[in-house]
Amino acid sequence: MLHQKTCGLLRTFFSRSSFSNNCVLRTSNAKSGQRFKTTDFKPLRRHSTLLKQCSQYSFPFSRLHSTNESLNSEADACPEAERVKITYVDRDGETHDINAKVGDNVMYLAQKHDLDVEGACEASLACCTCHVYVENHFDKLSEIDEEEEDMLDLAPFLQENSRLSCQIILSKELDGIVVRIPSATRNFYVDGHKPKPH
Amino acid sequence: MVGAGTKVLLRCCAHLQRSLIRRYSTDPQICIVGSGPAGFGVAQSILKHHPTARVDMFEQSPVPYGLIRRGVSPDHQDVKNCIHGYERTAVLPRFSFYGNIEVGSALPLVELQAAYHAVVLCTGAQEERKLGIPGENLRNIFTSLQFVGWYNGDTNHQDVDVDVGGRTVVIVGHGNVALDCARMLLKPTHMFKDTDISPVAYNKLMESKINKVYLVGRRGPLQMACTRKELSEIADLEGVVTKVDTDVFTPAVNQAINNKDLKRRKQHRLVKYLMKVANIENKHISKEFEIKYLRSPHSITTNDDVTIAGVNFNINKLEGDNVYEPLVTSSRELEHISCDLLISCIGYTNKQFDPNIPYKGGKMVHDNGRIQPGLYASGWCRDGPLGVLADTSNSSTQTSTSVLNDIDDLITDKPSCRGYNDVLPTLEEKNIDVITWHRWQTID
Repeated sequence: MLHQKTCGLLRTFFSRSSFSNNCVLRTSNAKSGQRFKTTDFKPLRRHSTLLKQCSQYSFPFSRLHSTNESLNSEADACPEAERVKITYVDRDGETHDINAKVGDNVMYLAQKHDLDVEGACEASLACCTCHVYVENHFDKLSEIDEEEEDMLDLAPFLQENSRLSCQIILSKELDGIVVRIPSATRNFYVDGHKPKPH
Repeated sequence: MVGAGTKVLLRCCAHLQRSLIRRYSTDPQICIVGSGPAGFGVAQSILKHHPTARVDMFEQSPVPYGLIRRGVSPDHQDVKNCIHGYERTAVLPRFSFYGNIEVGSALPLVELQAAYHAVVLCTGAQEERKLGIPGENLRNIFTSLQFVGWYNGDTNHQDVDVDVGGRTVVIVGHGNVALDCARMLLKPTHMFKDTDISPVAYNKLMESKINKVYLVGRRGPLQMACTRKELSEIADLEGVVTKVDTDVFTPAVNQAINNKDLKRRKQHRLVKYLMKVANIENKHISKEFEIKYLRSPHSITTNDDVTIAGVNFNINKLEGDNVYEPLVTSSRELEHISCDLLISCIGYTNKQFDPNIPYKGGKMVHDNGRIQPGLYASGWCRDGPLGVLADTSNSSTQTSTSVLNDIDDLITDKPSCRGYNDVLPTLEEKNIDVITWHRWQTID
């Protein structure tokens, strides 16, 4: 209980946006006491390292100092023929250029780089939480099968260029691919165990 | 003398102290009524996003999990995997399960509202729609609750006397529940051997001679409530042919499924799939699965006044400009289908949970799950008995966000809620045998 209160204090001091005691981040700097609509709140980001570490009762300092440099160097060590550039556009519209390699799974790669792509069913085609929009090279993706289509049926804000990112494996052909994360996903528990992406 | 900087610092500290006292002096007491996917979804979300909230879950049955346990087929184990998550939630220190308590009659809702800062109703849809036709009480006619409860080992339905000695079954309904029932009868029973199928049902089905199952619905292919995935589980069965009268694939239907409306994608895929798999015969066929459209049950026929012999159906027509939501008109023309067993899977209804909760068109009136501050609802009890697990989870996330948004004010308005301790006197007075989680695990 005391630990939780300490974490609450830390959250108050370290959070980037104004923060209510119920741990759901506000997107606007609204006044305390104002009523909020559900749409005012972003879903709590699982990849928010500070909050996640707090809920696990440990200090976040190790994560605060992590960078993407060590992750990119893995791809840089590959020969040119194996390197694939991928750009993720996150929910805020910010772009993240990642140096990846042939064979990388687009969903797991995003999670490795702290991007907000969920994968509730761990790539077993039993949910639609890793849904993304493929902005280019769409025709070069491997053909979609019925099982993936069944899950896409459940995804909100479906578009013509929607795919499940857990089914996209990077190839040299997909070099320069741009993948956009939708503004909302549906999360449901196939098995309640939520995979920790790190 | 105190400088300006120090004054600002003191003000900040005072504000922090006040807000901390306000936030942490009372732990929110949340009550969830119902232990199915909606209830556990809300519980998990609240416990995850609030550091001190206490969640008490009340369930009218001694057995938790609702439809996940009672309603999901034995061969859909992956859907039931969410129970692992519920089990982990149930043993968390800020969570308590109280089974065998009926909220409404035994424990009035107003008492719960007084004892808890927030009450979330997740009671599902309690009642089945009835066929309402003559002969409904003849032998070997079952509702989906009875039949599904029977093969799922629901203790209330183990003595349901299902006779599978005949050849032909009629299932009324075009949703996933109807498909589940059909699949239980068409799939080779030995494939259920290592599932949690009821042993009573397993033994009976092993003796089954059934080789023809009709799936009968009152509208057309674009109105089917089932999903392509579930349909494929039957269409892909070896030795089973899926028969459809191709007249139902009218020019209007063909045109509709080829338009690119992403909102109708699920329906278009279903109909396209149906067209692909319909009527593929080969010499290894031993069972027939026939999907009939445009038929509404009219009356049940019998040869001996005891057992069902068949069903009369009215033949329907679809009219109007909206090919997805047509007007259904019934002709007087009747078609008779002989059968030995009838199962009706025509959906559920909500009864009014409490006279003080506003309803409109069979659904609760709410704002993102909030009926009024302090009273919330999620799942089928709120929006009607439609939707799969994914939809219910979505509903629970929405509702829990509303609860979390309100929690500050709710604590301020009701500073002295003590949760379960406040309702304990009523439970003791009425001599209710409360099943705690520990006791349930001993029973299980």
